[in-house]
Amino acid sequence: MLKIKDLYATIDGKEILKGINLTINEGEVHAIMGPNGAGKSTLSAVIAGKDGYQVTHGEVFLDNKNVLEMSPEERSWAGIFLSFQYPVEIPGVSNVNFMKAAINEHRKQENLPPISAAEFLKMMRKKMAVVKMDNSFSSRGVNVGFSGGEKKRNEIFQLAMLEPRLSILDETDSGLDVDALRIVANGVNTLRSPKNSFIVITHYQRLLDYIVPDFVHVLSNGKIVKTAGKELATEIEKKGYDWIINQ
Amino acid sequence: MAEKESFNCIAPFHNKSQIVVSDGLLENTGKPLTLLIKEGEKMKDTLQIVDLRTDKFNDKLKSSSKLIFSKNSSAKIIICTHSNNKTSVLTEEIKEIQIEENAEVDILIVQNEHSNSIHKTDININMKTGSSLNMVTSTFHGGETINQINVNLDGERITCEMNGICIADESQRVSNTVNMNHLKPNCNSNQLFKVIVNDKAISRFDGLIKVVKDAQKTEAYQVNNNLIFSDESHAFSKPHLEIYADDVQCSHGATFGSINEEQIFYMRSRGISIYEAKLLQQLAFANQVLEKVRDEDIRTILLNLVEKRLRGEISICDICNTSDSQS
Repeated sequence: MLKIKDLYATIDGKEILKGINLTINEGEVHAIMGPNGAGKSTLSAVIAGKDGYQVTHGEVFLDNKNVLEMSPEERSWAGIFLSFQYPVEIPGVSNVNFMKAAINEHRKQENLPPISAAEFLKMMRKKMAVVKMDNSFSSRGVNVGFSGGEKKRNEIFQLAMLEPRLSILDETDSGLDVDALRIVANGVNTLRSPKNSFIVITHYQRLLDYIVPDFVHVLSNGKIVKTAGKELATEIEKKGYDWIINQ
Repeated sequence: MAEKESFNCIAPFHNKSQIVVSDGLLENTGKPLTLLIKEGEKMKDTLQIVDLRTDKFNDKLKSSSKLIFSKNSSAKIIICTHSNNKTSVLTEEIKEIQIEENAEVDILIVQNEHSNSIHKTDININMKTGSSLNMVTSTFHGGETINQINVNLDGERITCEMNGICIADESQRVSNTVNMNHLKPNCNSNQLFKVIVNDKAISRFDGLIKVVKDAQKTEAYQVNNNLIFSDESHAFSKPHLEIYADDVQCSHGATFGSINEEQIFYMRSRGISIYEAKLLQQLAFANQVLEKVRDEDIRTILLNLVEKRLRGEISICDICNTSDSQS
């Protein structure tokens, strides 16, 4: 489904990604771990199409479509979703208007008319329940005054609304207490299907106890230096990264 | 887009009351407008005054009108300024607004002319004890729009919300000057002017809060926020205070910002196109003024106008029926 081939990227002239190769098939969950500054967030930003990153070499394909040629919104329409490490606050735009705009743009791509108010409301309720979000969130400004945990739940709620093919969770566990972590992880697990895939970027094994990955990759200095099954996360938790990086 | 400069808004205002003033004169009497809301009268419906500028007076037109809200009355007024042609016209108008004791007044001014019009409006407002005014001046189209708003709070316990929204693009020039004069104690005034400039548009805001020596316990605030959407657009702001009393709460300030790229990327990553994302950001910016509109009907009308203006659709207010316009 997703194919990343020999990807190099720079930011402000500094090379961060130095030849990433990664293939993700339908239904798979891939964890990407690695020390600070390894390039984990850069990789997710490049896949999502954030400004400021220059891809100097390599390619990214989703379902045989060239992702790097697409605008961020086209990537979303194609089925890519990035759960932000630091979700952005948008004062003055309510959650409900924000999501309605997003859903309707997705529908427009499929030549569907704008969603009816009743249908949208029903959909909102159902998806908010996935992450135990209170109805009062819908009228509040996007992420405005949300706690760290509420922001991350809002990310997963948006994921549930948009039903992407590929979700990238960029340190979704950072800033979460155990209860919020469990709610977020359960939300993700209910959204898992044989058709959609996940990239879970994390520093800790903790999240992977709940969202069990098929593969664990270690990213170091802009390259994937080791790939193994879920047991690798446990080993990293015990021994750190040095033994892998210094191999 | 093609038709956005022309406007005709003279059709009957169905189900609600409407007054049409053509080139400064009332259609049926041929005299300038004097509107008198009688003592104790509580108007249920919103009254629309359509100020239409035709090409009958190609050069300068001077006009004046008077609105009097008597004691204990309440009224909701929408004043729409339009022109039904594209010839170059200059209008100088004076509006006198008298708000007597305990009157409660809501006013929405909608300025929608074309790129060849120059319109200078002096609005002199005099408020008496216990009265309240909730007013928004909204500027959407016009070559040069110059508003000078003078408010005298000439009584006690007056509340005055004097807000504004300006959306200007192409080579539009807009200037808003507000003089808020606190003449007696225990009054409360608020100014919030939000400006969005694009292309080569220029906006000026000049706001003054003046508190005379006797006007103790005054609460007066003024904010001017500017959203600058292009490199060639300009926004100037001159907020100032003149305070001669010693027991007051006053503040003033101005901000200037441009597109918030983080927010735009966040919205785009959810599939919202860059066009819609920028639109949402501008709507969010304007939202604070909308929140200050006390009357729900007026708020809905203003929201609709703002959204249409931002979408570049012809600036028809839904309240004006253009389909059977008079020619």
